[in-house]
Amino acid sequence: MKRSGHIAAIFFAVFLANVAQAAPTRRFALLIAHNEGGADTVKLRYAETDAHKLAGILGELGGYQNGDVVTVLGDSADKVLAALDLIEARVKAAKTGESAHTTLLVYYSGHGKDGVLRLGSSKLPMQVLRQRLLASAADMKLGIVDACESGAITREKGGRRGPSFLFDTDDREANKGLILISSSSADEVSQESDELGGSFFTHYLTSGLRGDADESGDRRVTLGEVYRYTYNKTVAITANTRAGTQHPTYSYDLQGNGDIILTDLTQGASGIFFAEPLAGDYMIFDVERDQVAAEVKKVSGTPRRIALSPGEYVVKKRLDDHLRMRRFTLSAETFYEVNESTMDRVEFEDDYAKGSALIAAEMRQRSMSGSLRFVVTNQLFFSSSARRELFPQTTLFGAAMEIEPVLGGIFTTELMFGGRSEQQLQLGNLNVGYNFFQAQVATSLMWGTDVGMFSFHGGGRLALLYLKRTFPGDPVLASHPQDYGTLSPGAAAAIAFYPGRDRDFSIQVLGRLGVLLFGVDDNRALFYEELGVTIGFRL
Amino acid sequence: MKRALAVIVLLSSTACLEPFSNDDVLFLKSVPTRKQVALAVPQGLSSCPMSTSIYYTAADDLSTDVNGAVYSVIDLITQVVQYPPTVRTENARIWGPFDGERGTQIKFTIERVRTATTVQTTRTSTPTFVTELYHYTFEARSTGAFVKVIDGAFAPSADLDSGMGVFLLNFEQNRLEVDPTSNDRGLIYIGYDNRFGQQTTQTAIDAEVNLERPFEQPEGYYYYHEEQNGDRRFDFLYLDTIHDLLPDNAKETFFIRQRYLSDGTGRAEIAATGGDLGDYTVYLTECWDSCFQQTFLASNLPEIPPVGTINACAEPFRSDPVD
Repeated sequence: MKRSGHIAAIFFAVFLANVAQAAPTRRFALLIAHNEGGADTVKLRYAETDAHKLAGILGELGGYQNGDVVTVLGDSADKVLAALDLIEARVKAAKTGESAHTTLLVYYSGHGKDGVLRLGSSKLPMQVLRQRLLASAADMKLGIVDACESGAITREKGGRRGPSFLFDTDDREANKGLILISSSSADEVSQESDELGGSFFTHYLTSGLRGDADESGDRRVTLGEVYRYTYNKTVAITANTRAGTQHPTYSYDLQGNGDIILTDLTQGASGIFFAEPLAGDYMIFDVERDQVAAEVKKVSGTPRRIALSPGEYVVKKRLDDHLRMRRFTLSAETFYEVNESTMDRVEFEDDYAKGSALIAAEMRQRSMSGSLRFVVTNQLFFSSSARRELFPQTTLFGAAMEIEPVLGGIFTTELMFGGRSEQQLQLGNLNVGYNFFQAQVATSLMWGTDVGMFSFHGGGRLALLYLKRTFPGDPVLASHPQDYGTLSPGAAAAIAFYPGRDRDFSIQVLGRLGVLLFGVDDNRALFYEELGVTIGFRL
Repeated sequence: MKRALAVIVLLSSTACLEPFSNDDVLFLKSVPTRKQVALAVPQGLSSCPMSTSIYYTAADDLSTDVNGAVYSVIDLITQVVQYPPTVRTENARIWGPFDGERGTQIKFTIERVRTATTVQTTRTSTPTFVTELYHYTFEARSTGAFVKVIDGAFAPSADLDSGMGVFLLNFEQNRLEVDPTSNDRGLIYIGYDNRFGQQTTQTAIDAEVNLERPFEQPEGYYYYHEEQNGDRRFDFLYLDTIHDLLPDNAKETFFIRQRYLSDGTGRAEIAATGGDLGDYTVYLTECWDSCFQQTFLASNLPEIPPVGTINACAEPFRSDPVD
C-alpha cells in the first residue's frame, strides 16, 4: 500500500545524550500526525498509528519523562503551532532547572506537498517548522518528516540522500544543533504498507529503535545506526513498489560531535531475545495493536534483543516455502527467548499474524469480487453509407457487472440501450423519417495491469446487438418496423482511474471496436467504434 | 373487391417485425398511395358558404367519385402490404396467397425488373429512360387460376424520391373470377407522375368495356396536374345528360377544362356536344372565387342567362380562352 500524494513528516528528537555526560539531559518530543490532507489527497491509513507507535517506543526506551512526549493527532496547523509553543515553554523551563542539556524531537507523519504539510484542510509550511526548530532553546533539535516530498525540508541546507550518517563516532561530547531527516526526497512519494501496518519509513525507524538497528550490539541504538538501517530497508523494500523507490534524506547543522543515542535497550525491561545461533528474517507482530512491532534480520554469531512492552505477540520466521510462527505473551520484566523448535509450521495462506487490513486486502484479491458500472458510449459506424442507410450514430446507456478474477482477468456482462428519433433514412434522394433503437447484451474478458491509481485493460468482447427502426410518419412503412439481431465480436480497451485507496470507486474511459456481419439485402462486414466513459462501484 | 378487402382487414390485426432491409423500403415505396393518384380538387374554407359554381361543384363531385373508387383499391393494397412479405427474394416480395371467404384466395406480388425502356405514364410526363422498375400485381381466384385484378408498375426516379407509375384496375376479372355479386364493372387506368415537385394524374374509366377493344369508348377521362406553387389544372371528359334543356334520349359528351389558382379561384371552359345536341356544340365559361361562388357565367346557349362580366374572373383568367 503506498502513501502517495502526501507528506508525512516527522520531527523527532530524542537524543539520549551520551550516558557518560555529566549533566542530565531532559528530552521533549512533539509527535504530529494527520491521516487527512484536504482536497486532492487520499486519506492515509497509518499516519496517526505511526505517531502513536513511535510515542510508545520513546516512552519505553527513549528516556523521556512522563508528560514530555506530546502527541497532536488529527488536529489543525493552529493546534500544532500552539503545541510547539507549549513544548518550547517547557524546554525553556527545563533549561533554567537542573537539566542543563535539553533535546527536542519533532516528528510529523501525514500528507505533504509542495513544501507544505497538509493537516486536514489546514496547511503548515515545512520551513515554518524548520524555523521553529532552529529557534528552539533546546540544545539538540531533531526533526523527522514522514511524508511525500518531505525532502523539501532538508534541501535548504543541502540535504543529502544516502545511507551514511556522520554521527557514528565514539566522541561522547554533548551535541548542539539541528538535524533534519525526511522519509523521501523532495520529488518522491512516501508509501504505506497494509502488510506492515504503517509507513515503510516509520516501520523501519521503529523496528530499528527497538533494537534491530543495533549494529554494535551495545544495546544502544544511535541516530547513525537507525538512520542507516532505516535508509537501507526503506530503499530496498520500496524498490519493488509501483510508486517507485523512496530515498530518505538528511541535513544537519551541528556544533560538536557525539554519538546520539536514540534508544537505550537496557531500559527496556521486557522484550524478545534471539540467541546467538539463530539466523533468518523474523517479524514480531503485535496482536493487540494489530501491527508489526518490529522486524529483525538476525545473523548467527551475535545475540539480539528487541525491546517490547508487555503484551501479546507472534514471532514469525519466513522460509522459502512456509512460515514458522509462535504466539506468546510477554510479561513485564521478562524477555521471551525465541526457540525455533517450538514454532509451528504454518503455510503462507494460513498466516494468522498479518493484521486485519492486510487480511481484508488479501481477501479482496483472492475472492471473486464484483463491480457495478454505469456506462455511456457513443457508437459510430465507420462506413458513411451504413450511417446514412442503416445505423445512425447513437448514444448508448447501460450498466455493466464486472467479476474478477475470471481466467486472470475481468469478466464483464453489459446491458446497453440507446436510440435516436427523427432520423432520415437516405436512399439516394429518398428521405424517409424513422426512429432508431438499439439494445446490446455483451460480455467481455479483459486483462491488464495497474499502474498507481490507474489500470489499463484490454481484451475481447462479444455483443449481441438488437437493432430496430420504425417509420412512424410514412403511410406505408409505418406498419413495417424492421429489426435485426446479430452477434458482434470485437475488441475493447479501458483505462480506469481509482481516486480512492480502497479502489472501491473508479472512473473509466473505454474504447471498443466491433464488427457487425450484416446479411440483409447484401452481405457486408460493418465496423464500428464505441467510445465512452463509465463510473464503477465495487460491490 | 370489397370482400377481398374484408379478408385482409381480418388478417391484419398486428404488425410483425421485418428484416432491416432497405430493399424492402424500396419495394414498399413502389406501391401507389392515395396522395399520388388523387384528383385533388381544391377545397374551400369551412367559413365559405355552399358553392354556387356549377362546374366547380361538378368537378368536386366527380373527383370524389373517382377518388373513392381508386382509393378503395389503394387501401386494399396498403392493407395487404401491412403484412410482412410471405416470400422475400432478391428481386421479389410476395404477400399471400391468403385464404378468404368461400375458398377465395388473393396474392400480391412486387417484382423488381431490370429493364431498358422509356416510360411515359401521363400525356404531359417527360418520357424517361429507366433501367429499373417495380411491377406489381394483385391477383385473386376462387376456384381456377389466379387472375390479375390490379396490374401496375412504378419506375422510381434516379434519385429515388419520386417516380412515374401506372396501374390498371380490372373489375371485370374480379367479377368473373372472384366476386360475381360485385357492382364494380369495367376497367380503370391510372397513370401518375410526381417527379420534379409536381403531381400529375391521368385516369381513364371504361365501365362498359369491350374487352376486345378496351378504352375504345371510355366513359370518363380525367387529367389532373398540380404545380409546386399550388396552381392546378383539371381536364375531364365524360358522358352525361343535359336534363333541363334537352330530352334525355342520349348522353352528351362534356369536355371541361378547369384552372385553379392556389387560393381556389378558378375558371372552367365547357364544351358539350353529341347526344341530344347532335352536331351542335354548347360553349360555356364560368369563373368562381376562392369560396367557389360563381362570379361569371357566359354561354352560346340563349337559355342560359349570363352572370357578371369577364372582369369578375381572377386576373389570370380574363383572357379568352384559357389555355
